[in-house]
Amino acid sequence: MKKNFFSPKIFLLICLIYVISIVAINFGFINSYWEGILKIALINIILVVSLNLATGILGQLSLAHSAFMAIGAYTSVMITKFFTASGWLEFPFAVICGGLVAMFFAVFISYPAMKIPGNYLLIITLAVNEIVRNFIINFNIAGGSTGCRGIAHYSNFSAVYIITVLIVGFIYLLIHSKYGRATICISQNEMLTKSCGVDTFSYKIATFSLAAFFAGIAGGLFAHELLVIEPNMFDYTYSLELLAMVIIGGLGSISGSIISAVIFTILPYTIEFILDIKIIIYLLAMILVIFYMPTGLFSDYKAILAAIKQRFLKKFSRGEKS
Amino acid sequence: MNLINSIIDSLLAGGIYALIALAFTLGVNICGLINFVNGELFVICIYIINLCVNLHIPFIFSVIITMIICAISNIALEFYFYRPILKRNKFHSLIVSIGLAFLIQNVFVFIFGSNPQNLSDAVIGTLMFGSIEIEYSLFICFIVTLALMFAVYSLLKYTKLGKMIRAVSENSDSTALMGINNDKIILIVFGICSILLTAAASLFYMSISVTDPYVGTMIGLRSLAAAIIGGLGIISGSVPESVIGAIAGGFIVGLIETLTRTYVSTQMSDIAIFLILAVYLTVNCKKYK
Amino acid sequence: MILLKIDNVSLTLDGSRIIRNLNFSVPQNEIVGLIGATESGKSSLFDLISGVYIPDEGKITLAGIDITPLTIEKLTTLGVARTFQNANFFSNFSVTDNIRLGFHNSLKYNLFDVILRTQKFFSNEKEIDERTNELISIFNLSDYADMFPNDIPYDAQCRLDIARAVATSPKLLLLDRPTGGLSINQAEEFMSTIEMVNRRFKTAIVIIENDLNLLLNICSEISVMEYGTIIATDNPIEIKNNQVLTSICLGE
Repeated sequence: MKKNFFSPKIFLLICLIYVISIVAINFGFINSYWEGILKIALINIILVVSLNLATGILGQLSLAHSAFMAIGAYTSVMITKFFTASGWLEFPFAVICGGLVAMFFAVFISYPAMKIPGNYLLIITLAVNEIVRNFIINFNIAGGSTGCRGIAHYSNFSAVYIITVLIVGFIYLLIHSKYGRATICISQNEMLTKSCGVDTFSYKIATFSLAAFFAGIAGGLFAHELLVIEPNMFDYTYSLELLAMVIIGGLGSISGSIISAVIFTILPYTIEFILDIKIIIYLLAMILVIFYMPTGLFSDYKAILAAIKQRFLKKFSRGEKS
Repeated sequence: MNLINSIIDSLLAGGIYALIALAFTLGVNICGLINFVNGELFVICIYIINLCVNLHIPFIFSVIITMIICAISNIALEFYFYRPILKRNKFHSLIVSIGLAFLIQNVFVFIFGSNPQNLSDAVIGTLMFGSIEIEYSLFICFIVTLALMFAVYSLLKYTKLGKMIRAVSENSDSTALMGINNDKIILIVFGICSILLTAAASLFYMSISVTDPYVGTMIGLRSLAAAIIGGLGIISGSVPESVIGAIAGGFIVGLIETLTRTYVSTQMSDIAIFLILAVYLTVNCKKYK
Repeated sequence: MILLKIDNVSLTLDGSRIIRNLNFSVPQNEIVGLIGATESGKSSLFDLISGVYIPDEGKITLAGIDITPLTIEKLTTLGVARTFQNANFFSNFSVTDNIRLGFHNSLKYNLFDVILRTQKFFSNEKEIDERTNELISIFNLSDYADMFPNDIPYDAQCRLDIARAVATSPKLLLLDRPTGGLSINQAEEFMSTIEMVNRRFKTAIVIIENDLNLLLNICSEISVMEYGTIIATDNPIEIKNNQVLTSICLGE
């Protein structure tokens, strides 16, 4: 369904959420601890939606997302530490540079894999995580294994929120266009898509690199929110968690990814005992969802809304009857 | 001298990679699925062998017991997890495969902890070939790998079971129509893979003294790279030849790893292997269908 | 006027010479048949024309342009469309969306139009919607427009295949055994559909067929292939009356 993204309903909803959040933060309803968690949730939304672009839309399983995030984080940190310009100038520049470096790296690693039909990219992405981590540690990039401290706190809520909305909006508009349709077709039947005149090789590399670009940007935002980063934050466990979020939310569904990212970011903080076995629960949930509900739990938001409406209406009619 | 010593040292890693690569290759050829759990089963086998040896069970019997446990696990995995998913959607099966692999790893770490384990010495001693000293365990490793390679090759090429396996690999629809029980053949192949994994685990056990639960990921990954360099995806129907390819790929990767470790640095060995894999894929991209 | 000219091409695959010194030409706006025994290289010839393989030697020209080294997608853009044996489609897309993908190159907007949702984007999409609906009614697929291809009857799947190929606005349409699996009545109906495509869209068509009788009425000329080369080209009646050629086609 071609829904105009600039439709008044969605625009209003986005602004409403923003206003409510800003008011809540500034007036102390949400303390800084929870404000941080909201920002991480937004960053995870960027990560999950961009991973969904590579996995659900393009059909290429990728476990390199945390590596792209690491590249974005470290690049942006090196830039903000190197320059001493005002935050308004160097923060966007640093974050975008982080995204670009991640994007070039993605082009480099996907070039051999995309020439071949099949899912060889997965194997390369598994290796990439380790390689990037080793690279940072061994070449002592921005502190190497001891990590990098004293990062400037540039990620305020407004910046993160606006960037998230822009990225998710971009991906949504892209999917609902000829580019998105062609990319989905590539994942189903590449030869037939070529016969329709689509340059599948370029599309595959472009989509994957775009996903990496957004992951790099998320990395930059992440670094300037946590203020401390070290290589072990970006290991393949994080990539696996993101993959689980994508699949539980629904492959190819943006709304599913948003809901899934928010729930799975906030969940560990509310049920603290699961922190140790977080990855086990996520992976188990992912496998169960693939077996029993392969379209994802949250992908059909219309059905969820309709079900809520139905329950609501039932309550009223029951009231009338009695 | 140094070079020859490095090459001989690489036979150990090469042998382990070769056996696991062969397990991957057989798995992919028979049902089209990259069984990522192979790496984790490998690690679990090492721990079980260690447990048995610590219980004073002789090494040979420990290996046999482990082989049985591994075979049961692998077959159960195929039966309960892979079979229903493969019938439905191949992309989902890849997700299940990688999800299960890391799930097993994390459950293992949760239950047994991630501390490095000391592995008891099972085989000690060295052999002398002229002026070159080779560790006994390394020698056994090379012999065992080649023996298993010949065994699997002969099985596939000369026996009736081997013919059935090759038929199912090429065209499972036709074999089903001819009355061959595809599912049983797939289970048998997974059993063979378990034997290979246990053999690799026992070779690892003999030669290396410390391990932790996470080695499975990197060793599995390098074995997978070895399988691809050995022709996975290119050589499909002629399964006996793919056996030779997988073993050769394993030794090549072992050689690359050892040589880079000796002459450059340990960290570059990873990058070197995957760089060569990338070059291989780019050069051979026309051959993949 | 000659639309497609194949000059002395050869192709070796996996060690065997599949196409040997082949010369072939297709006149503009004509329907040409291609027959021969199995494994004589007919589908491989289509592979060569449509860009799946590149010939080892020889030249292929389309309307004077050398298309020998071009890729599949580039050739589709230049106007070569091809169907495969057994109807090929996207199973998770509806019939309408399947055909709409064929119009991919007719959508002329770029990334900026997509992001800013300009007027050009909407008018382009609307135009393609209309053209898709037009094709659906031309190929009698209106009953199945919103269904999935796996749920529609086989002859409708074949029509879907050819509709998608026509959507790419081809100058040359290559049909590989389009009536395989159809009953005799359906096959004859399909032949008249092909004729309609040729008349209405001014497309040259090459058909690979095993049944010579189906081609008799619609082809202006038929070529016979054997062992990777064309051994005869003539009008259909002459080919049918030639005992030697027909026995070759039957594989005797």
